[in-house]
Amino acid sequence: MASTIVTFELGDREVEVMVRPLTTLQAVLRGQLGATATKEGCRQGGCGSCTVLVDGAPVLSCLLPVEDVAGRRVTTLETVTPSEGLHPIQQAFLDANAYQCGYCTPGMVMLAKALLDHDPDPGEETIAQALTGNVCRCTGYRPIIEAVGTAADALRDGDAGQPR
Amino acid sequence: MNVRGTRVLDAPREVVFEAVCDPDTLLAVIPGCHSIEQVSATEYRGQISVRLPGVVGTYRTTVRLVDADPPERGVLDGEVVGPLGSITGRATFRLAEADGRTVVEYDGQAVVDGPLARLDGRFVEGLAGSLIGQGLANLNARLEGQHDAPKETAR
Amino acid sequence: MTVRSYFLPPSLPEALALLETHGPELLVMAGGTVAMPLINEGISLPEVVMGLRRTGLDRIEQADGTLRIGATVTLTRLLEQRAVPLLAEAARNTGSWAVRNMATVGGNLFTPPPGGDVAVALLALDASVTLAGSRGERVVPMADFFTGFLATRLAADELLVGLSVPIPGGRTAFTKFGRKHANTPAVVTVAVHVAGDAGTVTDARIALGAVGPHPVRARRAERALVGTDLDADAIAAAAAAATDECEPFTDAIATDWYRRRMVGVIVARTLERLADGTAGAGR
Repeated sequence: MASTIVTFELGDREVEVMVRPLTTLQAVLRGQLGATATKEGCRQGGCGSCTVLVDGAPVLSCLLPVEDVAGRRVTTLETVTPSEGLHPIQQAFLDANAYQCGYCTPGMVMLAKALLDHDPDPGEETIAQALTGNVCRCTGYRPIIEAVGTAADALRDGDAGQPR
Repeated sequence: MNVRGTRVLDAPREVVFEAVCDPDTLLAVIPGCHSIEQVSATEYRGQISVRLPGVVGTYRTTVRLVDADPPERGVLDGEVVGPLGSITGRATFRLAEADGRTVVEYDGQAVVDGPLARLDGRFVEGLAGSLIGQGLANLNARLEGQHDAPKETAR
Repeated sequence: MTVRSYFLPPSLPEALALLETHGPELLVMAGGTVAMPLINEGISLPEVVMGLRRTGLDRIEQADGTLRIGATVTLTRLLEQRAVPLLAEAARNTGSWAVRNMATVGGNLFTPPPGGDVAVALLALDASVTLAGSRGERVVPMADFFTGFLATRLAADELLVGLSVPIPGGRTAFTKFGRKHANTPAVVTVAVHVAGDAGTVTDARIALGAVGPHPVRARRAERALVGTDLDADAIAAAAAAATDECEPFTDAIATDWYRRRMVGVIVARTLERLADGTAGAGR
């Protein structure tokens, strides 16, 4: 069983990992890179807690062999969080109490980031539709949808210097 | 699990019964079968490869003819063992003459063990039914002399 | 993990060569949304796996009244195309945004029951499937592609490489009914294409999903519509025929009883939307 070396961009840095064949991006992030913000929930593609972005598009890292992201750009919650303070999406979740146990939250934030990058002014229905792949057992979703709306407003208000 | 069905084949009973007991015929008509040998007068061993969406595997198969009343009836004990578990069962088949054609009735029960058993029972039943159906269709084509029909496999 | 090798061939000929080399042991996957859950769960234990993401089978082209869709086109791209709204609607009703970014049109034809809602739309559109293998390429109509439970016309040495969809001339409508509003397997899926100017139906195609071993055309229901004005009686007759001719099954999502109850309801609602004009082209 031959291991291979896979190189990809994680946020703004290049990473190189040695993996056995068909190791998932989820396993690499959590097991090899110590990036445990991306969660492991169902490993079936049904819960969304493993959501990351590849070249800006949301994907389920539990179903994605890391070989498939060679040369691509992967975005996780770690790479979105600024070195100080919080990203406006994170702040909005905090302000809206849009989490309880917090397990779905990284996936929700990544989905929200992808949504707002594509559509800076989504209505409530659009937000709800975008989040259909992310399961939350705690909040009942309402505060999460509110938080995404608030974050959209904050980002549109053009906080100069804030990370996007 | 239970698998039962009926199919009409365009050949007389004696021909059908003989074909079912002939390893070369079984090799040709069972979907995914890539080897078969007769180890005794009533026992056959073979290998069947299954390719389903997301699942592949090669299974060792043993089939024993435990009771026979040619050309009318036969009882087969079978075992299919592979990386995903095993299926063990017994099937009875009856052949009835109908104007030079044969009505094949089969009725089998089997127990599924191993990771296969974690799949919805309908999948294994449906797959078994599908393989038997395809096998009988292939047998029919072969008995009619159409030797060039490409063997289609479940994917 | 049992996998010894994972191949990502950069072209179709190389993918076919790997298929020929490894034969039935090779697990082929495109989006991974069917195969990877089974591998993660330990239900599937492949030793050699081939991914199709880099084979270049991801083009969408329109020419001569036909939309040609490569097998590895994602459902997101299918959702974004405007040429055939029925397909966009089917894609919209499948999975979630992240699932659609990974799942492929070709893979949707191999989704185990009850799945494959894009396949239902393709059936209603009279699409055809292009298969490539050691003997070359061949084209199979969707209506002939499914042969049984988890069985298709795809031979052991072939890959599905693309779909050809005639741009529909009539009105289309699609309804997927599931236990949730989104990201859910179907209880019943209905896709319809109806042709006929001046109100009288000259041709009807009704495809049903999740009420048989694979997507099926409801032929008797279709005949019940031809020559009618798509009035209430015709719709009721079609719904009754569909209820009668389907072969629903029981699984974790729904019982066969419930599916049979709902197929008539969903066929009727879909046809009513079509008749009202509220269906638009593909709602």
